[in-house]
Amino acid sequence: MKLIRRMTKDYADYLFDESRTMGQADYIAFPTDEAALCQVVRWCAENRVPLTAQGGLTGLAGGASPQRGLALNLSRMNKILGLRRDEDGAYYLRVQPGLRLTQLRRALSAKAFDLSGWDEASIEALRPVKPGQLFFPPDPTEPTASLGGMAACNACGARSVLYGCTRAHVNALRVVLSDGRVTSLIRGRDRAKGRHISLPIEGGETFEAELPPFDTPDIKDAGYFIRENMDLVDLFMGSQGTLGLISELELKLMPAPKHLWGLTAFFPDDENALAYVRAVKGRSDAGVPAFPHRAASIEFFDKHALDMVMAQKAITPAFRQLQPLPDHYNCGVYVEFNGDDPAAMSPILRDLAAVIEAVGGDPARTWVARDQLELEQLLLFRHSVPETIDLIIEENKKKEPCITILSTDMAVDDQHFDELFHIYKKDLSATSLHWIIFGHIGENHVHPNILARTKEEYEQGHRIFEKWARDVHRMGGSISAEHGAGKIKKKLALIMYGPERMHSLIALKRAFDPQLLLGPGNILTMDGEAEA
Amino acid sequence: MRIFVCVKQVPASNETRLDPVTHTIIREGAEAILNPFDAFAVEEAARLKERLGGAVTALTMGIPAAEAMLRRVIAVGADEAILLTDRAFAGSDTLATARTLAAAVRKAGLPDLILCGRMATDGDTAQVGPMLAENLGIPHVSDVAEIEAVEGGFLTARRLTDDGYVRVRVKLPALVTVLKEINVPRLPSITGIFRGEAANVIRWSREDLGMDPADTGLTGSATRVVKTERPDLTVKAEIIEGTPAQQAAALIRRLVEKRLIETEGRA
Repeated sequence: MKLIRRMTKDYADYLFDESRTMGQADYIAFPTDEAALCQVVRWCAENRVPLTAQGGLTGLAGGASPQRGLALNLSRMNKILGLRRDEDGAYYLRVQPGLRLTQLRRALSAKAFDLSGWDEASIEALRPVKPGQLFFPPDPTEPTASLGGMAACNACGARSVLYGCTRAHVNALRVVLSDGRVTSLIRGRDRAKGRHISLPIEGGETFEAELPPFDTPDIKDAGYFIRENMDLVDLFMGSQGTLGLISELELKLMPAPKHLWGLTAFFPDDENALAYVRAVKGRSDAGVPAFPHRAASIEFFDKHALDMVMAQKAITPAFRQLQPLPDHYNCGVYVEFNGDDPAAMSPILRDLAAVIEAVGGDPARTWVARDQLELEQLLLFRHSVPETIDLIIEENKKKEPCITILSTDMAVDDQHFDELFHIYKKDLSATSLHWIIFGHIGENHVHPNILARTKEEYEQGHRIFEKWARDVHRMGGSISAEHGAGKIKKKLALIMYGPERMHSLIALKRAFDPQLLLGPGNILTMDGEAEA
Repeated sequence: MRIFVCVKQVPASNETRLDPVTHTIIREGAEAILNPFDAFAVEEAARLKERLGGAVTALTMGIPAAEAMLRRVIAVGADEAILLTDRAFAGSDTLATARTLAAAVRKAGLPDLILCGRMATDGDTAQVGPMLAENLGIPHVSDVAEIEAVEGGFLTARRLTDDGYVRVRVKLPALVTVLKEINVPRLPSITGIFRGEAANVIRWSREDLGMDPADTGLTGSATRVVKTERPDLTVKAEIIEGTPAQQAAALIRRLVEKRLIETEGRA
């Protein structure tokens, strides 16, 4: 089979991601190993063909929608390559970038690995591992996301409250640079010297460049991660295929918690929910009992989100198993706990019941999932929100092709979150748009979504997002905590960085990619492109 | 309305897995859960109680540890629970199980309605519900997709058959086994869990039921498990390479070899 194929209508599904940002391409390639990937990249470099990397196509910002040139689809680089155990007993798994999170989870929970191609040392490292003993904590809501994609936009997801983002769980990367050379980077070993970076190239050379003279925001990260003396692995995490193409990842695995459980509590008003979240995060208001336990995730659903899912439940058979909502619901908060001892659940429940009552909720209006099996139901409910948005946008797009998903993932610190939440509600309530707010309230980045029905509404949505980007910038926050800026939010990235910093990021990009072939249209606003 | 709901503990998984390194069967996941089909019976009992008033009693025969499962059933709507536990019950087949459950129902007093899941996921027999009804001398309706009405001492239900749904009317007291499609089992609330933790689970032994040892457990069983073996689940896949014409020719050759098709006059 030819490695580089002409784009035909058979490949139409590879022109857009879950955000429904429609792209175009002249070629498509499905490499199955790093050598083939390098071959494609060299061909693109020689022929000046831009290329856009794709993994699971589950992104929400259009990062994997090709603008032109070649769609580099990595979904067939989906093997688990090997395992090692370090002297401290920690396990590291080498995977190809197209491996999907579901495949990884299944492999770890069932100890179901295809060992063909594994070396003896890897097989020996796997021997004592029990099914379900190890896990990879990042949990973006969409489990069909690819590991390469998760790294490329440093996905966070619900459990990052406890475990951090994808970045924290990637120990090493192999990256194909724009000229087809390969660099191999290990966390702790390969670091910048001040702002000078020197990447070891396979075969003995090095690649030298200078980092921009500023640090990216501390609160989560949209796009690039820049620090003095930084780990070079982190330079590619979040860069959305604009500096290089990840060809292999080494994931740091953790001992799996033995008891996962959680609960959703319903509240009569958003203010009760905000007080509940503050308490669960250890910042109880006066008169609310202290909550001394640590949650793994805290998720919010506003009334519009709950209404939307209930309406879809009547239509979509897959949602039939969703729990019926309690009468007179307004909003809900899901909290998950990851521990080892099932006996720890009862005292935590008692403390939660006291908090729920104190903030104006009712312990009887809760759904408790006591084990993994029941938890699946709460996670299904959580996942049904973005799934429904998907279905609605797909429908709206039929009438107005320019429409994409309009979801934000702006983040601020604890001190500013309530202010930002109130801005969201005030700005949205002043419109006649169809909107919902849900998502990762535990880390101060809920996802206000605007479900545009017309071109005018779509443009209005973008204007509101730009206003919020300025608000968030003023609060010292980040315009995209986890989805990446991709194409939809590059204007917001420009607001956050400002023109001067954007210039120095472009200089970094040019150092890595002089022909500007990698991930065209992602994150960066090139000279002359602004306000187009 | 007094409702009994029969429940059973089953292993969490029936899956057979091989360790990729040692090629031996992975024996774990021995965790016991409420039989998934029984959850629908419990939910239906809770809904009928909410609609018609009354009380729900959960009933199981099992090891002492099954008490935890009964507390979970109380958390989602049962008012009380009875655990039939005794070494004399060990090894019961479906007949001995139904006989023991019947003795417990008679001791507690025949309710208006007994609900069961359509079958357990470990044995897959779907026999205990109907056998219990026969033992008690009451009518039963199996595979019920919807309980439409309970009034005037009769219950109207829609049950699934091979040819579609049939509406039936049955005189109470009766026993009904339910399908998955009948409802969505609720998750417990915090309040429900506390109620389950605080509840008193009644324990009855063979003596409490006044049963003859010859009628219970292995000795009271009409069937014997002589041998169990795991089914061979290996599936071999063969990928035929070549152009479409070559692949078609190779496929025909393989099918003829296996005598799955015949080629008229050209073989």
